[in-house]
Amino acid sequence: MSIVELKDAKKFYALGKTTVEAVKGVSFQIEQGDFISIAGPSGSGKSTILNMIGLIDTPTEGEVFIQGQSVRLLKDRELTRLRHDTIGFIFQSFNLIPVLTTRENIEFPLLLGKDNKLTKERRDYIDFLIEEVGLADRQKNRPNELSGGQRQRVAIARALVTKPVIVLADEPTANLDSATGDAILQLMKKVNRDLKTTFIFSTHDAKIVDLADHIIRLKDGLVTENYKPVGV
Amino acid sequence: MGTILKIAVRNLTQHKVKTLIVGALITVGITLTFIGNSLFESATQGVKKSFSENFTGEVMIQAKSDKKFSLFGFDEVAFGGNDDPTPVIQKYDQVLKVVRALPQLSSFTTQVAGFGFINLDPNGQAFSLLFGIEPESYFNTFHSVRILEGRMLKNGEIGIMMSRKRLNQIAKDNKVTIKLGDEVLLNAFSSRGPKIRSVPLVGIYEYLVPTQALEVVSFVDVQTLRALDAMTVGTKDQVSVDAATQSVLDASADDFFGAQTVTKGKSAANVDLNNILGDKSVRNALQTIDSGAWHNILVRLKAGSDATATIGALNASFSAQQLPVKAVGWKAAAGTTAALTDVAQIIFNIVIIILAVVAVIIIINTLVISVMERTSEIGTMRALGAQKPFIRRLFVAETLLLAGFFGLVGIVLGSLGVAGINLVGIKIDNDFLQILFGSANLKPHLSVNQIGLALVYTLFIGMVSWIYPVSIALKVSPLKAISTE
Repeated sequence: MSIVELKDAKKFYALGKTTVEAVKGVSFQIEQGDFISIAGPSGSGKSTILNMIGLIDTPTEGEVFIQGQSVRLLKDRELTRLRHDTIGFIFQSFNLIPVLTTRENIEFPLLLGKDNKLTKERRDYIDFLIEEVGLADRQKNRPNELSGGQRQRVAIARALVTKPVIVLADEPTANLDSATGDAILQLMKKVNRDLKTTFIFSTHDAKIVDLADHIIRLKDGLVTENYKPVGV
Repeated sequence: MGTILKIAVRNLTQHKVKTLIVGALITVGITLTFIGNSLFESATQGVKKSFSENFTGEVMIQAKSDKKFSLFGFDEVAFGGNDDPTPVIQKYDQVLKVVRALPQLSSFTTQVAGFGFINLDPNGQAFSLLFGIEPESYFNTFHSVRILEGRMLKNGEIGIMMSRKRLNQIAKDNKVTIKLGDEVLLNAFSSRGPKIRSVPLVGIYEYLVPTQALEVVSFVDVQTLRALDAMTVGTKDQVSVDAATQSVLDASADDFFGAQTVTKGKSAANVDLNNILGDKSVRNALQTIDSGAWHNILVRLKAGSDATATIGALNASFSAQQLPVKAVGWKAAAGTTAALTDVAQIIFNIVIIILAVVAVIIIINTLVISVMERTSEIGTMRALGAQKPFIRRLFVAETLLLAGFFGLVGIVLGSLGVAGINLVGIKIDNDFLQILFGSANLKPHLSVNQIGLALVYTLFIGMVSWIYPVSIALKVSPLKAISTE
């Protein structure tokens, strides 16, 4: 069973008197454990598709399925719950909570769930993630005391802390220098490999596309290519 | 909740300038409200104490009437418009029995209220409020004056006692010095025409409690004031007259000088002028001063007695016995003088409420800007799985912490201010302000009431301020996490 499926999904925006067709009807499936790149130039609709998969935007037409469940009729409360339990986010601008420390930012999503107790098991897992992203010595620092790469590492750990089946990353290396970007990509690939977490990127970074084991190319709101390179 | 408080506190400390601007507004508002209301509360207590202990007692009993009458006879607000004579207590002896039966009774006295003019020919005249009293019971009940010259009036003695301040004022305004032992000529215009009485000045006093409103009051023997007020027999009790007398009483002035009254054919020499009015016994009876007529019974209660409950019990007894009197509290007895403080406090609080509305608008504006600046943060929280109630709690916590902390600072500063003013005191020279605050040296006290009221104001500001900003925060879509920055 595919973990994510889009069926003829369309997204139109009203822009003044004109309607912008951001996504003109796309269909594809994503399997668990994929390291998938949704690639395309600016305005191709990749961020819109990522938002629909991340349940923070809804298709104007068509359907989105998460773990086989249609999300079309879900209410805001249910969408939020599903998003929390299933999906982790890594943003282009990191989007850390500025007043929280590294550790607090990482544990923050756990406090939003129905069961929000910080059990020993959870604390151990947070320690593990902090070690994995290499921020053991930066646990008590706030975001403004961290470099861009360090912030994105915090964001990765935060995205993983709820053990989501899907992690969405919107241009995760766009605000990082080349070396830091490479390190972040390697880290995500490692997590993907070790934890079998599905990673979905929107990007036009060739390095990410090269690392991906499933590539969906978009142009003008339509899928132009959907393939899994052999031997990745 | 711990996370929410943590985020709220850190957000407030991180955005110091915004927090301090809003906080300063709240602190200044609460401090001013606290000090202002403490002053007014102390003023009210002061006015209550000075009036109930020195002039009105805790309870005043007066005749039932559709119009308002205070200790001074008339309601000051209606002065000049309410020219009805002050009603006299009917069935006085029965009323007194009810008063004497009060278990919480400490003492009581009786009083007649009136006003007149002190004739100072050729230098005009001076207005004077007059309290007709039985000196012994009055000054045993109210230790309100200290004799500076002369002595207290004695029971049954004809005379007047005036305050030093009043005499000085008359000397200043009318260039007439009234000295101890001088005859004071009192003019009054009662319902039965002008009355004049001459009484000796037997005592000059000062009030122990500075009560500017009462400086214009002079104490006279009650019989003199009854005469000036035309409180003759019949004002207290109904008098039966026969039909012929009644027709005379009902006749108009024209009836007396009509054509039928002209007597023809009789020489003036044949008329017995001494008996022209015939039998004058009824007229004489009606003009006899009623020695039992009183306007007010002023009651002091034992310490710790509940005045409100006593008034209720008294009125129930009066009603059950069909006595046409009512018991009222010190404030009604004091009339407009005491109400001035209440009115001033209401005006003060209206001003404070207007300022609070302005402050709340500024706070709302600042919080809205704060929400706008944090749409990405809110959107991120929503994207990470924060439900709307979490966002609401976050902003409510911030606003309540802000209002609560700075409100408490305001209460502490207000308390220090009140304590400081209490140590130093505020000297009041202005007569009107002295009446308003019931004292010439205002010393406010800290009170639980004022702390409670300030907390209510603080909570109100906190609760009202978050409603609109939070409604905006709740509209922030998780999409903002991506589309902003």
